[in-house]
Amino acid sequence: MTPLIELRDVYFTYEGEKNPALKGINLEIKEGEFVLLTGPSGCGKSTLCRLLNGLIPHFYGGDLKGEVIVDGLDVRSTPTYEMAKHVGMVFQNPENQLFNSSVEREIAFGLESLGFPPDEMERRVEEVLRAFNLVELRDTPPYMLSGGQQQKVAIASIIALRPKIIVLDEPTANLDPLSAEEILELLSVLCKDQNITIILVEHRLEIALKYASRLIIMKNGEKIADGTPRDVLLTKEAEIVGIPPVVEVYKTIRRRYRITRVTPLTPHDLANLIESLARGEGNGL
Amino acid sequence: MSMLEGFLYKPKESPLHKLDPRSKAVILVFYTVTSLIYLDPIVLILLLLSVVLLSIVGKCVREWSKSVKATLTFALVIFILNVLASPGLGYTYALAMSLRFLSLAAAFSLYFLTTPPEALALSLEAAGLPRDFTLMLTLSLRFVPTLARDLQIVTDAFRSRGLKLDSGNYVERLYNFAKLLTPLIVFEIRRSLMIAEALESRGFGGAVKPSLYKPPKMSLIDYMITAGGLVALGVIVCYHLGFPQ
Repeated sequence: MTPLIELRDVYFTYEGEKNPALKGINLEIKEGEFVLLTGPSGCGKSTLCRLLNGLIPHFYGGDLKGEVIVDGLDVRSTPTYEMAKHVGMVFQNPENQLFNSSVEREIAFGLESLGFPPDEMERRVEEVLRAFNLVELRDTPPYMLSGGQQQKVAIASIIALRPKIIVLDEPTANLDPLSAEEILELLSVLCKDQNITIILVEHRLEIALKYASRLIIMKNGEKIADGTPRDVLLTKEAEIVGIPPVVEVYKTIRRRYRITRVTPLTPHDLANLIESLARGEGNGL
Repeated sequence: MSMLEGFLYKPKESPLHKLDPRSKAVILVFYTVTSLIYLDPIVLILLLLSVVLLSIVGKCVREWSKSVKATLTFALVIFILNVLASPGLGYTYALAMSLRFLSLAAAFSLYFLTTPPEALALSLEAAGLPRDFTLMLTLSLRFVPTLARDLQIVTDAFRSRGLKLDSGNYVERLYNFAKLLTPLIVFEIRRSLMIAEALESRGFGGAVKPSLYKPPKMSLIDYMITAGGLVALGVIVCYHLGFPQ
């Protein structure tokens, strides 16, 4: 299977900056993956996101080196409005990405911009309203909704364009933990049911990890770790992003009792692991 | 501030609120043209009275009268200036000038009180105006509350670091308020960049002409009002220019 996203030796420097924001990024992402992208602030995560839907180099000028192919399109020669059909982008602040007077108009906005015929537009808006449980809120102005609902509308409005990829740049940063969990759950369903590839930038690993099929860590514009969350979290590189307590506990158990198990990602996983150890399964306790 | 409030849309159920912004705009043009070509205080007073009647139909007398009250001061200034500047023309002329201003302000205030801005933008777009312009209109109105909150955030941040905004004389206060401007402008430029990013990501600025989801529809009454307004406008203009013999 050819990768859906392919980056080869990508370097990018913003106009007027000396240091590159991305340094030698090589990346292949397959269809249907749920990629969690993390790293300290200023590590190049947002830059990478912008690159995937063509905001770089079309909106943000600068020096781009290397090859970036997304869904078979070269981002250099494809304008952002064209990329919008392939890559949906959700930003951190819901307020800045909702501009319409009602939820249904918000969902129709992208379709309008791309000149869809009215009957096709109506069909897609209805479909999305139902799928996202927003039918009752269709006439509500988005700015009157809660943060969680706003982010849901933002996701719904890009799903209307039927992209193969959704890139989310810290979508839960302004949300309370419960709403954050709901949004991540929603993304996980989209990934599983519709095979939509998710690229999620998130700092709160403890709530996002269980949905991810892959974890990428960046630092100073470079990719320093890439693999399944269970493997990456045990590496030394993972320490810069703050390892979830569950994993810390496992690492301590592993060191102290010299045992190896599948890395737990949730408190539930950890409880199971401790239970099996207490029962004396395998070596150890 | 209360004067500006008189121009902000208040959602209500009234026949005036139900009309299409376009048919109401025809009536507004009729009022504007009539008050600009007639200098007879009687005609202008009749115009003003008809706006009063319309504001009763539109169920927004209170909000409307607020904006009219606020414009009264300006009307008075116009009256005094006219009396002083052109004494030869007399009090009637000065009265007509201030009544003209008053009736224009009253008509526009009523229009904006009963027309949701997004409906106005939508009907403008349906009438063929490019989306760049209509979006400018909707966005500028949509982000007014956001801007007010941003100002509050910046003010709070400065106050908590000891900036005095409530004490001192006017000059000091003005000087201290000016200090809020730099961070606020930086804040808003950054926000506008984020909005632009989001717009681009949703396909805005594409090569095709944007289509309209649920374009506004004119009702029979809208068509009748538009036709009536246009006829009245034609009659007034012809009468003023002198009917062709």
